[in-house]
Amino acid sequence: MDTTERTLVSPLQSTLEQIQSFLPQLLAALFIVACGFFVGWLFKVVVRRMLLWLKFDAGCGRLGLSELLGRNGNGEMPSTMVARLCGGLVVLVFVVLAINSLNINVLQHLIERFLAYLPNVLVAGLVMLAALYLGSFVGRAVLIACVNAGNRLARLCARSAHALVLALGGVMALEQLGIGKDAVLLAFAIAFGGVVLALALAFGLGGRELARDFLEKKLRPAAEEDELKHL
Amino acid sequence: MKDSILQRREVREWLAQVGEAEILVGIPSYNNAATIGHVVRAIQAGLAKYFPDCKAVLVNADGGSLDGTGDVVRQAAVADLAALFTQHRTVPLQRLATPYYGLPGKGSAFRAIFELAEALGVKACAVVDSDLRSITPEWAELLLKPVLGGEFDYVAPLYRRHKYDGTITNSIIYPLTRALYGRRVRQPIGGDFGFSGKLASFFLNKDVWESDVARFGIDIWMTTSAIANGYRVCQAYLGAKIHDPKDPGADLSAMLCQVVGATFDLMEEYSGVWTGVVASQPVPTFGFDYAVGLEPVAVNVERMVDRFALGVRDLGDVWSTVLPPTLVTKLSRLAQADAKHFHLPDELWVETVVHFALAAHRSVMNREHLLKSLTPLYIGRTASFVLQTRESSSDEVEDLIEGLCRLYEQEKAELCANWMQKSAN
Repeated sequence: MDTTERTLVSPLQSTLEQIQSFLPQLLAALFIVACGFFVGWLFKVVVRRMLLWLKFDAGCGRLGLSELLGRNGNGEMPSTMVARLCGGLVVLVFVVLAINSLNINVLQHLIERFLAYLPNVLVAGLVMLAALYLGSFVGRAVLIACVNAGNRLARLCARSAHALVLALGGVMALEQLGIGKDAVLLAFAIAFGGVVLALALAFGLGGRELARDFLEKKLRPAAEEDELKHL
Repeated sequence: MKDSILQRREVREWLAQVGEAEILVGIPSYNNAATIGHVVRAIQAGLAKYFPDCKAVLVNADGGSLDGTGDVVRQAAVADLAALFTQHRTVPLQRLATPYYGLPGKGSAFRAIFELAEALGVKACAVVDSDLRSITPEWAELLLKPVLGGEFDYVAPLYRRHKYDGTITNSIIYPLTRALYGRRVRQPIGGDFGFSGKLASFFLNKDVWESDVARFGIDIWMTTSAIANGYRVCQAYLGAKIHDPKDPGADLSAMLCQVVGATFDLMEEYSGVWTGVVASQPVPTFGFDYAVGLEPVAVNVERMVDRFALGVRDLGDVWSTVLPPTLVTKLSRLAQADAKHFHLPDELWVETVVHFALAAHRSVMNREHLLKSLTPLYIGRTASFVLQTRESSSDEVEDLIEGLCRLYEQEKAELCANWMQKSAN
């Protein structure tokens, strides 16, 4: 009897007691999370209304951000996406509060580490977002300029410019996250230097005729050029 | 005022010396030493002949020429006015050649001219291009007299031009402006204008000098502002317009972007005006219309069609955000035709311009990208126009342009509806 009590009943009682004492904390944590969802939703609605009032979508359109977010996201308006992000951050804050309220050391320690690392993730995310925007902007600018100049390799030039900006952004983001800091930077520098050298050699050796034609056209006005006056 | 030409000491001294004037003629320039002498002499002769008793000044606002344009302006003179006219000019012509401040461009030069006009309290101003080879003394009379007589505030030019000359004017700016504001000003961006001192002050006090207006957008901005603000507008027949074959440093894409961008900006500013305008009316016209011989213009149509096809191939994604899919498909089909049979119908072109205007209004993408992506389409339209009018006389070409204008006017109802829809959102 004693043995049974010692090996089964006591631990069970102890576990039940622990659960009993933990249950209010758990319920409180769940309540906090529920509150978080409600406040997050409320915050999202307020932020969206405010952004609409500030004509945020039109501003993003002018900057070319709408198109970028539309292509890389799910086609939502920028104001909706930003509002959703703000709401999500509020929910995250409440989840952290809820976990802290549970008083579990391991979880608290993990959260501390996560919170300490979070700014890096946010900065890296912002860097990548900026790189996506800049890459798209530069790529399109190069594409239009090349087409208007009659360059048949317009798409290639545009994609190269886009990829270069993205690669640069990627390297900066990885550096921010502390992932393979030196290795990534070194690899990028070697690759970038290699590409530039290859292009220089290709143009110098393979494109001598092209370079000469280009300079001749620049220095000597072509006889067959249009004489249209557009204005 | 920021970037004011009146900050220059020599300008202030010149103003103090001149005091007041009744007439000011402004000539913007940049490396035009070869042609500006003729322009100055024509203006000098015109002022001597038609306004002998008016105190007049001539201002050259220069963009930093390196070819001695300013020296030519200072030295250019009609050798013997008595040999030209029986009546000799009684009031000497004062002149000033000075660099302007601000963004490099024609608009900044005009701003300097407006400042001087206001400072001198002039009654009438005229501005003429510095690369003109066909200007005559009569231009001074035609541009200034309607204003000095007090009947009009703004005189737009009317020329005989080669059928391939002024293609941005003929295919976009004239028909669109006419459809929007209801006034048939045939050369809204002609470059040579007359206007009252009051209107010069109005232009000067607008905060537009950091925009496209400071560059090639100035002409359409002046014409549209005059019409939309209820100033009395007329046009004067000046004869032939022959100028240097090349705009120094002019890049078609940038030029198109500035002119069309300024037009679209004006649509935003004056949407309350143009949405209420139905149909168009002619404006009073002065001068004697006569046929003139014009120099032939060389055009490489194959290359233009090739540029259009390149645009269709590579800019399809960009255009898809601006134009409806059916329109993009139609444009793609056109690109498959060979250069000799290439034809971009007027209806398609008008629809394209209207959708670009709406896209600018809705800010669907970066404004400069949007406007510059129009270039291959404009080149295609120009190629089609050249092919279509190869055997046409100038009167037949005018009839075609008239037909295009009517299409723009028909399309306006849809433009208004779509414009309002966005504004309501």
